[in-house]
Amino acid sequence: MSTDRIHGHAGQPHDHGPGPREHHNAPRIDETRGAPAPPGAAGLPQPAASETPRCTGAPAAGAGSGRSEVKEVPVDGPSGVRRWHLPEDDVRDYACGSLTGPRLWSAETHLASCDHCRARLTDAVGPAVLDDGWARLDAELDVPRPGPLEWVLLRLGVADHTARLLAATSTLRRAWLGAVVFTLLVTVAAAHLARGGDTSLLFLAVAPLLPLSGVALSFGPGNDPTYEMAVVAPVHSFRLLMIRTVSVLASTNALSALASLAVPSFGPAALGWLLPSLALTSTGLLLMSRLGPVWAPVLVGSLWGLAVLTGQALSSGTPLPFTAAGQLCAAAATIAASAALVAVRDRFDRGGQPASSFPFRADTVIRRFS
Amino acid sequence: MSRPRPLPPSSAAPSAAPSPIPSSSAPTVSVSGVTLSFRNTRALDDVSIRFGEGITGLLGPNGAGKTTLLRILATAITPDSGALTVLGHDPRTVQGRHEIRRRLGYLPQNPGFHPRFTAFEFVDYVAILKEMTDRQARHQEVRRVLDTVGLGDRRGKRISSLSGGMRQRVGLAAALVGDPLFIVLDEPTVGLDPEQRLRFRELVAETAEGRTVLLSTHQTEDVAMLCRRVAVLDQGRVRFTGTPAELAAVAEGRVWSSTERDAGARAGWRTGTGEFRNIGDPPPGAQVCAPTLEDGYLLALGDTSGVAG
Repeated sequence: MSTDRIHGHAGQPHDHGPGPREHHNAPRIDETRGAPAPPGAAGLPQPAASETPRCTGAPAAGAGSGRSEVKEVPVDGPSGVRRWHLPEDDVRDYACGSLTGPRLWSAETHLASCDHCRARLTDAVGPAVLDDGWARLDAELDVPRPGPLEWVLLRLGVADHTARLLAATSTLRRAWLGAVVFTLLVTVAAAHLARGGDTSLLFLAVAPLLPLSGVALSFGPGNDPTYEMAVVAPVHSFRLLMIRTVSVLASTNALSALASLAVPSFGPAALGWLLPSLALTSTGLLLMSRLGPVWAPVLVGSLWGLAVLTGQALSSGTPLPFTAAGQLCAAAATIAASAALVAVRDRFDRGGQPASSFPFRADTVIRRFS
Repeated sequence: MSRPRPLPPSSAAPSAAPSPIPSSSAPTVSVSGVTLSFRNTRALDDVSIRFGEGITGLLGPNGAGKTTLLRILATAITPDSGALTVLGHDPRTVQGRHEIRRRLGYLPQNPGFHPRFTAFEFVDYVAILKEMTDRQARHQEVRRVLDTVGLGDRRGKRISSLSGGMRQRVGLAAALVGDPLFIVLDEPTVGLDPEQRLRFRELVAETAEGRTVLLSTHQTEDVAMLCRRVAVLDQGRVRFTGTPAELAAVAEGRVWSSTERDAGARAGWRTGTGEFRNIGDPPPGAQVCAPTLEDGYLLALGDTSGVAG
């Protein structure tokens, strides 16, 4: 088989030294036998089909026809060792991008280790096309490697630019997620240690506040390191806000849902935090357009705490916010606040106050611990 | 004595009409009577200014209102009152803001970086914010601007591992991505060593070709080396508009040296030779010196009580 022949000569001590940009990890034939590498696997910039104008002459007869036999040219080396070089038509076909199948794989493997044939290839395609090939290879190497979250989003079919915006949300960093997990563990532990009454009340009261805090931390001049650049970018601020809100809601509520499985009174009632979390987040966002990313969540969170405490004081059973009526109110508040939010979406594009007018910079804290 | 643009007295109310800064082209940015207050502080007080293509320097001490004016022109904040147009669009309208932002490159005073991003990832992120959704074209543009600022070989490095000068260049690359027509640079040379400053100035000068660039600084060397026009801002008011040569000419015949500090000088400081350099109204027989841009700037500020050697 042809590949065996190439393997036989590739290890010979002839002038096949690595070129200046040669990839030293180019696959050897014995590693690819039976599972040939795909085109381009040898790390060589194979010219694209669109570059055929640089090619001279028509492809050789039979090129791309799938024939498996490679016609290699044996050459006598200075030490009497038989060496092999690619035939002229294979070099020309490779340069044109019309070489296919086993001949392509064999040619690539040979080119990876043969200076002479690489020089012939350079002559065939011209240095401009070769440089362009290297530029494309460099471009592929430059492409940002997606993190785990971005990778999942891309697999789910999210557009790459949206996935990057989602993954860049500051509150998806480990410090924030760690704080959320810690808070949930404490509330679940408190529920287990409590004696009498509704043991999961603390968990139900705290869980809705987590996404509200996350959204506040992910948007605002004091919290987003790139706020100043983002606010003057043509992308609509409201869209950016919604992207970050979705990422915070998804991550935080997923963790809260997992924590729900561990509370003592597990059942539908353990999910009583879900609708209030949506209501608090949407209301907080709505007020954020007026009060900013600090005072709006503080106000909404305080009102929520007041509602839970009042509900507990007035009821001997389940506090009002977690009854069916309370859940209905939360759903209605979510819908109303969301509709109002859409109506005032342009307010988020007006910019804001100087960063120094905000009382704290949470991004500094997050960066320090992440 | 040649004084192309007389200094307005500090107490005098500035004219409400925009003061056109000499330019070879029609003004692309026009600000008229803009006022903005934060709580009880008036950051900008009836500011009027116009400028066109090329680099315009905005000089002024800390707290003069430079950043506030830049943020207004960059559509980051909206003024309380006044009229302004940027590239023919009104930033007070939704559509106008969007049109300006599509043509804007902005380097804030303290550009924030996502700490885990590489230079390439950060500029790519800003390109996404600039609505460049085609991945291949966007990456090509990111490589172009990183090459332009001389970071082509460092694009894979994390920003947290780059020096201050390189981070500024990453910020400039982010501002240049998308080939903007209006570039706003807020004190870009602060914190850079002399060599880095020189390289940064070269970059800014190269990128200003065919664009309107507004450069805020409190370093007169930046203006002298880069700008063909300059405006001096102090306490929220425009104190001077003209060319750098005209600003230096403000101090013509008003700078003198003496062996002792001159009590009548508006400001004076001891130089390396041991002599005092004074600015203000020289006494009869004073040894008048050739003025510099800094002398003109200090006189344009009016209150130079903070300058005393």
